[in-house]
Amino acid sequence: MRNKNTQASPFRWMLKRYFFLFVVVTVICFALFPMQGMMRILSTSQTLSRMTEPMEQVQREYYTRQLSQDFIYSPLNLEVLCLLFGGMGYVAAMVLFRHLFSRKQGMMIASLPMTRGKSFLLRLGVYGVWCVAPMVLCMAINPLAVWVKGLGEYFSLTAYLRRAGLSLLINLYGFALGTLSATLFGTIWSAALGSLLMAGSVEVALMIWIRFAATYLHSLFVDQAIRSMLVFSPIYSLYKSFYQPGDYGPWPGLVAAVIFLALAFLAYRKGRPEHAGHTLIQKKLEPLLVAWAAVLGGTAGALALVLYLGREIILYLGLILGALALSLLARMLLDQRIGLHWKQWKIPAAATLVMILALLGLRMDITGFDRYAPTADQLARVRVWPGHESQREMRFEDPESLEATLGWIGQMRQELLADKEKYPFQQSLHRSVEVIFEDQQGREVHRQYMYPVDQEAVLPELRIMAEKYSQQRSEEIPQVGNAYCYGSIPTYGLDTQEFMATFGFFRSNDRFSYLNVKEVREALRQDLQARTFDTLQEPTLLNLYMEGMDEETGTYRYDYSGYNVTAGDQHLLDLILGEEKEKWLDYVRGGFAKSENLRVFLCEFEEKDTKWELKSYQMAEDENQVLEWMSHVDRCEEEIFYRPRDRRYQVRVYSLSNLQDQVGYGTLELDLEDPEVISHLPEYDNVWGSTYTYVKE
Amino acid sequence: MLKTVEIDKSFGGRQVLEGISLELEGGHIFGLLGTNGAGKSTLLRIISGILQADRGEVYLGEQRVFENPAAKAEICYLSDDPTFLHAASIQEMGAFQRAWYPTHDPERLKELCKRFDLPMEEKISGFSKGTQKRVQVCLALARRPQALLCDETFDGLDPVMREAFRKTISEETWDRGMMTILAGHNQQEMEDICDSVGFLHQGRLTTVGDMESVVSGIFRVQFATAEPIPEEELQALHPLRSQRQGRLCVVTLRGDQETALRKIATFGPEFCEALPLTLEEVFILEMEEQGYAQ
Repeated sequence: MRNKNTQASPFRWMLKRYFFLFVVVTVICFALFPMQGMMRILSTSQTLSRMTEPMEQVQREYYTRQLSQDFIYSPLNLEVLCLLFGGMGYVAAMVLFRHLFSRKQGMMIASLPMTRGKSFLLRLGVYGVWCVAPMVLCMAINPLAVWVKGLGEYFSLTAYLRRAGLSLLINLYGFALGTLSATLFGTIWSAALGSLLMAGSVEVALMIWIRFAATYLHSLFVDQAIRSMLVFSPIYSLYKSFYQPGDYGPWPGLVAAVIFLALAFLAYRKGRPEHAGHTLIQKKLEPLLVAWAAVLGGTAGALALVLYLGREIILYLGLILGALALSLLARMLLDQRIGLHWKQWKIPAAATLVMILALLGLRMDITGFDRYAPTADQLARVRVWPGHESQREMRFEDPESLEATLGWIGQMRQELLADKEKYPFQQSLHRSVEVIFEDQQGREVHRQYMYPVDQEAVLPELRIMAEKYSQQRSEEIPQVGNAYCYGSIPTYGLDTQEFMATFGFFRSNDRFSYLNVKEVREALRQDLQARTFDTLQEPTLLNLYMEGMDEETGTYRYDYSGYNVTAGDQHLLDLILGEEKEKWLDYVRGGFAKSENLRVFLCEFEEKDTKWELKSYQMAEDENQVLEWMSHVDRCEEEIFYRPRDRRYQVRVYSLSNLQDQVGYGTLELDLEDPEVISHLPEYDNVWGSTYTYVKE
Repeated sequence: MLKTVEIDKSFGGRQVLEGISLELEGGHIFGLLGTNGAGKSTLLRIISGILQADRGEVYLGEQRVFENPAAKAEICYLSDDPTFLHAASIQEMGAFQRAWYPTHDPERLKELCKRFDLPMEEKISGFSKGTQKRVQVCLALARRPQALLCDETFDGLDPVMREAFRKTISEETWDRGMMTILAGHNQQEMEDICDSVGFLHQGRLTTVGDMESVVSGIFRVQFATAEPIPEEELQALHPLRSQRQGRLCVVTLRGDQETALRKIATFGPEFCEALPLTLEEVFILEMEEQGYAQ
């Protein structure tokens, strides 16, 4: 019996023809989802049945995360899984539209009694039935098994659907990308190349251009600019949202997939079968492709030469050569023959000219980017991040703090503009501070300023700010279920054995796992509120981290920034170290200097031909001198932002036991029994020791 | 009726077809002769709805063909290079056709395969090129299309098979009122079975008409006079070709044969005879007139 619906028979025939897609997708998905998921569900079920003690919140969160988010249990990491899901969709598209890569097959399909639009939709239908449906079915088995095994209370459907949905979305993106490539490009290799161009070339080119811009716009905060750009990147948004479901929006990826499919539909309808087998099916796109090749070539050429030679003229030369080379290559690929073809030379020439003008525009700062100077009444708040390494953000809202901050920023801007006049291309070495200006409407302007490390321009405002900010953090302690910390005590030359003998551990978090999170939160709040600039400068003893299911958002949160617990944080130290606290404090506040194991030197340097050379040094005579010197060095991470740098002085600490180890290993050839050698240690460049910058007050 | 109206087509700026208008009634076979690269295949592909014309339109009855599934289902294009699904057998190709063409008749396919000695279960890709052409024609006839477009389909077939297929296609055309277009270079074959013919050169149809009028439109006359006739008088006949051997003249003329003979009679010939030309000779003369290979 023939189906009277004329579309049903072709569809059934196509389903039969492409049945192998179902087999392949099902095998892969079954191996990824139910098979691995079942093992996890069974092991969780067995563990829970053996459990006699009441379960702690943190354990409950662990099992919920395992069953709801980590269902794709696989030896593959998340990046590879992304590639796998996207790759399956991409390959499916290539298989379903492979007739477009052969003139003969293309003609045969075009002769069929069906509009091109319906032919496209039929293939979309086959993708839905043979690729999406088996993925969905495989994903549906896990929750069923969880409920059958009675583990429903450890299962978050929302978390599960987020990650499962993302897997499908990545697959759809791959399919859409493959479909668009197949409909635009007439050979497999050109489609593959085209896919790469469409998937990531814009992001890569923009990233490089942001770097170029930063060589002229000295206040451009590169990392932030790249982050802002990547928010709109389809690939990046899909990857990030797959990696952190719920924390990151996959919308650019979804929008791109829909746009790709819509464009592919149009291209399929308008495509000419006679162009199958050519590099490009849609000939009208040829100028665009040549222009983009010139842009990419110019960008890559400029980057390659600038990285190698680092001079401004090279930037322009690399740009021109790169644009020329890649547009020629594109021309050869389009014509499918090797040789110099200057057809359409005006397009790469125009693209190169635009790029050169863009660089000149950046050089002249025609938008006034570096001169941006808001006033306090225009702003709601200013947020400051003192340095790349620090994750600490300081926020200033009240008029007094705003004025002080803007004054300090104004000084840095002046420094920056002066520096720019001196070095228009590339920045000189400074310590950077990221600033976010936020106006009344919530709009943000990001800038990066620098202050010279060698100048005496200590900024008292910053000290006040640091203190205020630290207190501010007490209001932002995450409401999560787990807290743990690592030992982060400075060794001051103690070796591993000594350290373990003294403190019973060596930078291990075992001792501090499963802290009572409620008590930690309370102690942390009290310590943060009590912090002053002086306590901030105390040595760091511990790194406290908090993570777990966020009670407010219901998502799993890792608070990677953590907290440095200093010798001044009495409440936390009491809670975590208990009776051992005094031993720790005694050690960091001077006890270390009593060690016979240490040899401490104060070194003075002088600058010769842009290099710093050792001028003189002096060995500490006793414990008191060691303590005196060490009181002038940076003892915590933050301090480097609040003190002026002076490269002329250093305190060097050598541990005799470490030196003996080096002699034993054969990496050091010194007679450590010889007092003369010991008193000349700084002269030996290859001798390992701890180096601290000494701050002359 | 199959009709093309002012078809234009170009590839990459090169004009391949220009102003092609054709009409073909049911039950007729049309022969499309052309020089190499004249655009025969392109024209057939446009008629079958595979390619889109830059300008102009193709109609099957009242329906436009391009992007019209109903019309495309009734037209069958046989490429000069047969194309089948990858690794398919005749049976699988039959299933493919059955899914796409409501008029496909599996029994007819079986009968044709039996008649032309084709194994239905074996992979077509393993067949010789000639056998693949046989498969292609059998599959086409099993579809029972209203219009059959053959692009050098009989090339590569042995004489027995050529004759058998020619006969089958002719019968199918006359019995069912099918419209058939045969494109190729075998003028003898076309002369034998085509009702009408068209010459295609550099994308233009230079000659179109029923076979008899095209073949008789150009003829050769040989005559002998007592005295040699002056050259001017001979050229006044506007011959396509002329040849003298003493008193014997052979002229190739276009137009009405009776009128030409009356003019020649004024020379007082001792002997005069009109000789018919073959389609091939007519084609060569037409192409020469177009300046082809001169």
